[in-house]
Order: sequence, then C-alpha cells, then structure tokens
Amino acid sequence: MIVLQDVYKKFSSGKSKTDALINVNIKIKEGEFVAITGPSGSGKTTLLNIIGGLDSPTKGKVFINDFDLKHMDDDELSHYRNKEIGFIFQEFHLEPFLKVRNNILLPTLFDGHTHDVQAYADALLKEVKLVKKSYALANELSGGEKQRTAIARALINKPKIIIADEPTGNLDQETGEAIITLLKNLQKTHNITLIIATHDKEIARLAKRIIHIEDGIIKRR
Amino acid sequence: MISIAIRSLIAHRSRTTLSIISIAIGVASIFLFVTMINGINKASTEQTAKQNPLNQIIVRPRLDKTGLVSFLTKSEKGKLTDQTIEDIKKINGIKNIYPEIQFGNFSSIEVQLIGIGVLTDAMVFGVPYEFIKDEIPNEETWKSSEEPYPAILPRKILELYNLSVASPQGLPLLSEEDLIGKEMIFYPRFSTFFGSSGNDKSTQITLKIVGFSDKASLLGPTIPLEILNTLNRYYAPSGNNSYTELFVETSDQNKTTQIAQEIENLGLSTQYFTKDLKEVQAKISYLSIGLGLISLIIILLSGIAIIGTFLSQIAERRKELGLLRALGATRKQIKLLIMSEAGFIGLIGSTIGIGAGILASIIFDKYITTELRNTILLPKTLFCITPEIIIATLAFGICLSIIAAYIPANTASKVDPITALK
Repeated sequence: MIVLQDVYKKFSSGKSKTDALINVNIKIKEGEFVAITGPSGSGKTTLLNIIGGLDSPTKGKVFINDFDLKHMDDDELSHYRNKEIGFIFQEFHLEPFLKVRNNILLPTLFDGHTHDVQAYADALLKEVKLVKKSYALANELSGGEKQRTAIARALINKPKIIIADEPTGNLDQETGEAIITLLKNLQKTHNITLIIATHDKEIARLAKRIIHIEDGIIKRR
Repeated sequence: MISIAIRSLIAHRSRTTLSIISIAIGVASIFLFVTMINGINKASTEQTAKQNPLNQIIVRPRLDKTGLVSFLTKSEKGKLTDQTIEDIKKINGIKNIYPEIQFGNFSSIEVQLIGIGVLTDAMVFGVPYEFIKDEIPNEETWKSSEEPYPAILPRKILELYNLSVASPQGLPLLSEEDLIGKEMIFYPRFSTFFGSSGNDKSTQITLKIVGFSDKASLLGPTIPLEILNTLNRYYAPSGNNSYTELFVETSDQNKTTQIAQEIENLGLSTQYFTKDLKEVQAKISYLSIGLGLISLIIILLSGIAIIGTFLSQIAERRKELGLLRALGATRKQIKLLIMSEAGFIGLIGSTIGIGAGILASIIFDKYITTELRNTILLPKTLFCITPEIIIATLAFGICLSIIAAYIPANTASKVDPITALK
C-alpha cells in the first residue's frame, strides 16, 4: 500500500518559489493499476519521483507498506529504489554501450538478489519479445524495442511497484498501444502496482483508477 | 561493477585514451628518473667497491700531524712506519696489512704513445705482490729483479687519456692490450717542473707495463715494493722513508667500520667502502632531489590532467550516472565505479609508461655506449631496471590515477538523478 499524507513540494530557484504539489493525499493499493493524468507541469513527474524515492516532499509523509520514506537515509533509499521500484522513463534511458541483456541486468549489480537473475533475464526477454535482440547494443534498437528493454529492466529485481513516466511519449501510437498492453499484461502476471503518468486519455482509460492533477492539486481520484 | 567500468572505458574511448596518455607520460618519466638514479647509484657503488673492497681500509697519516712542520723537521710523528703496522696488527680482526711506499724524489716518466713521446712528472709507488696478485696472476712477472722492472697503471688513467686527450684531439683510443708490454723510461733525478742544479736526465730506469688495476694510485705507476725500496736507497736516500698508505684487510667485512674506528683512535686517517659510499651517496642525493622535484611536477601535471579529464567526462556522463542512481546505485558505488575506471586507466597507462620507459632507457643507453662513450665519463649502463622498480612504478601509477580520480568520483556520487534524467 502506498500512502501520501498532506504532501507538499516546493521548488525554489533564487527568489522565486513554485508549488509543485499542494496538500496531496493519495492511497494506492497493492497490485493496483493507476494512471496519473494532467497537463505538462501539473506535478505528475514530481509525484512519481516522491513515490519512487528519487525526491522527498517539503512537507507531509509518504508511507510504503506502512514504512515512512522520511526515515530512510541515502543508502536505504537506493536500496528501496533498487528492490521495490521499477522505473520506466519517457526517454528510455538505456546505457548505449551495453547490450540489451546487460541493460536488463544493470539493476542487479547494485545489491544482492535471491533469485537466479540470468534465468529471469531470459524469461523477461521472452516476455518482452526481445530474445533475438539480446546481444544487440541498446543504440541499435527501435523506440519500441528500447522501451521493451526498459520494461524488462524495471522488472528484473521483481519489484512491487512499477513507475512509468510517460512511457509512450516518444513512441508512435501503434507502438505506444503495444507497450501499454504489454505493461498491463505484465502488471497482472507479476501482480505489481503499476503507476503510469500520462496526458493521453486513451491510455489512462486502461487503468483501474485515474488520479488527475492540475497545478499540483489533486482534482479527481 | 567492474564490467560496467570496463565497458564504460571502452565506450568513452577518446577520454580514456587521453587519460591513459597522461598517466603513461608521467609514469615513463618517473620510471626513467628512478632507474637512472638507481643506475648511477649502482655504478658508483660498484666503482667504490672496485677501488675499495668491503674488507679493506686504506690508512693514511693524518694531515694535521704530518703537516709542513713535520715535513721540515723530518719528524716521524703521525707518519706510517713499521711501528704503525705493529700497532694496527694488535687490533682484533686484522687479516693482512699491505704497505705502499712512494719514491722519495721529484721524478718523471717518458713514454712513447702512438709515435709521440710524452714526458711528464710522475710519482712512483711500490706495493707488495700480494696486494695486486688478482691483477697479475703470474707472480714471476712481478718479481723480476732485472730491468725493465714491472709496473702497473691505474685503469682510470687510461679512461682519462681516451676521454680528455685522445677524443678531443682525434688521436686513436688506447686499450689495456695496446699498452701491456710497453716500456716507459723513469727518470729518478729529473723533473720537468722542479728543475734545479741536480736535475739529471742521464739516469734512466726502464719500466714495463704488465697490467692495470683499480687499486693502483692515480698519480703514477706502481712497481714492486722491494724494487722501489732499492731505488729509494740509491736515488732518494734523504727522502721520506715512511709508508705512503697502508692497505689493511680485515677478516670480517662486517667489522670493517669498527676496525677503522679503532685505527682512527691511533691518530690515523682511514678510508673504507662504507665511508666512501656515504660520501658518494650524499653527492647522488642532490641529483635525486633535483630529479625528484621534476618528478613531482610531472606527477602534479599528470594528476591535474586526470582530474580535468574525469571532471569533464563526468559532466558528459551526468545522465548515465543519474540513471545508475535511479536504478539503485548508492553514492559509494558510483564513487567505486569512477575509481575502478581510474584504476584501470592507471593500470593500462602505467604498463604503457613502463614499457615506454624501458624502451627509452635502451635507446639512451645505446646512444651513450655508441655516441658519448668517448666524450664523457659514464658507466656502462646509465639505467638500472629492477623488478622492484617495475612493481613500485606500476603501483604508483595506479594509485596516482585513483587518487586523482577521487575528486571527480566525489562529484559523480553527488549527481542528482532527477536533474540528470530531465
């Protein structure tokens, strides 16, 4: 269960201050598929960053399975991001000098793991239909292949939560739909909480719940 | 983590090459300096050991006790006499004492070299056979009692002739073989400098060069002790009959210093290997300090180059580092990644640098042995490469690279994943 209580986030740049999130209160159940919608600059990414442990709120509390992220130091937050969260970015963010398989295995290098990561990488390559591209360099892939690699990478450490920030933003409509379908299927088979930030209403409709945010304020949940 | 470091180095080839070159240049220079200092040290140690073996003490009168007053009054005080030998023999650990005497009159030597007659004032010394038996394997050669009398010359004099006379004037170089068997005329009553009414060139004694030695005095030929005693009796009866030097051989080389101290307590001056070596090393230390300072500058420049290269590399790799942080890498792991990369650069750069250093030392040595051999006095090899120096330089290069990468690694660990991934 993800719980955000009275979360505020302010960004300061010189004398100017921006309220990115204002009094955000959200509860997301385990295994839920949630879409966060809203226009650009509304606070979607900030919200995802706070849930993913990349950023911390200026005020308020974030609980992940009843544990307050505020009490984690930098190393514990790294561990949390590595084990509990799988990130998928709009710009894929693959290491261009690594092969597909090694990109997928990248998160396994930072901490110990209890499962056979090599076998699991093979299984994920099959699931995302990239077996033939296993040994291709990341910069040799198409946009859709890159995002499928990123999805497999997000799943390699068997996280409980997948955070996808505009995962179809850099893809054409057809590929984007295929990626969302893939994500939805994986969410079901792996029983993970999937949080997608998108401004695409069609994609949002596929989610079980939509949280709409405007100017840092939750309008609908 | 190491595999990412290696892949990252390969991916950023140009930067990696630049860093490797910086390290290689620094390491090669330091390697050359260290091996050169080591080579000079070794050569001077060998030269000192040749002139003064570990178990040998050269005993001389103390100048303050045999000064002008002593000379004028013919006083025996402080001089090396048979009594001195007896006193030294009483010290524990003495194996042999070989006396050296000097011809007691102004004298000169004439020799025909490459068709040119050379007449010069010279001192003549006498030593017992036992002292130079390593250089003259056949005792009979030394014990000849008829003219021409046997004589040995110092090896250094041949080197000095080749260097300062033959080379500049374009004369043929001489080797020991060229001179062995050659005769010299010894004028016991003639001096080219101190000419007086007693100057008489008619008395001539023929000497024959039978060998060369590092132990022989640099000031003139050395002949058998017995013959010089006889010559002194005939031609310098009023001269100084004391010994010039005593060569004391100890039974245990480890006790040489202690025995030398005891000899000094008898009011005599000593010279021995450790003492000579200390003086030589004191002189070399100035060179070491000079080269050390140059090395320090090179190290600083290499370090700065690595810091600069890594800092700009990190600025370029912000996205990559931010992603690693987002995927769960801790700050420590990012630091480790950058420092591992630096370690690899250090390893490759140092290996190349050492290889280049070895190659450069071979080229320099070759140049020295072929081009400069007869121009300046140099050891056979100027560089002494040892496995210890190779290992130490390799370790140094790796450490330098890692230390220089510390600041960039620290900067990398502080990369904010949110801003980096924007």
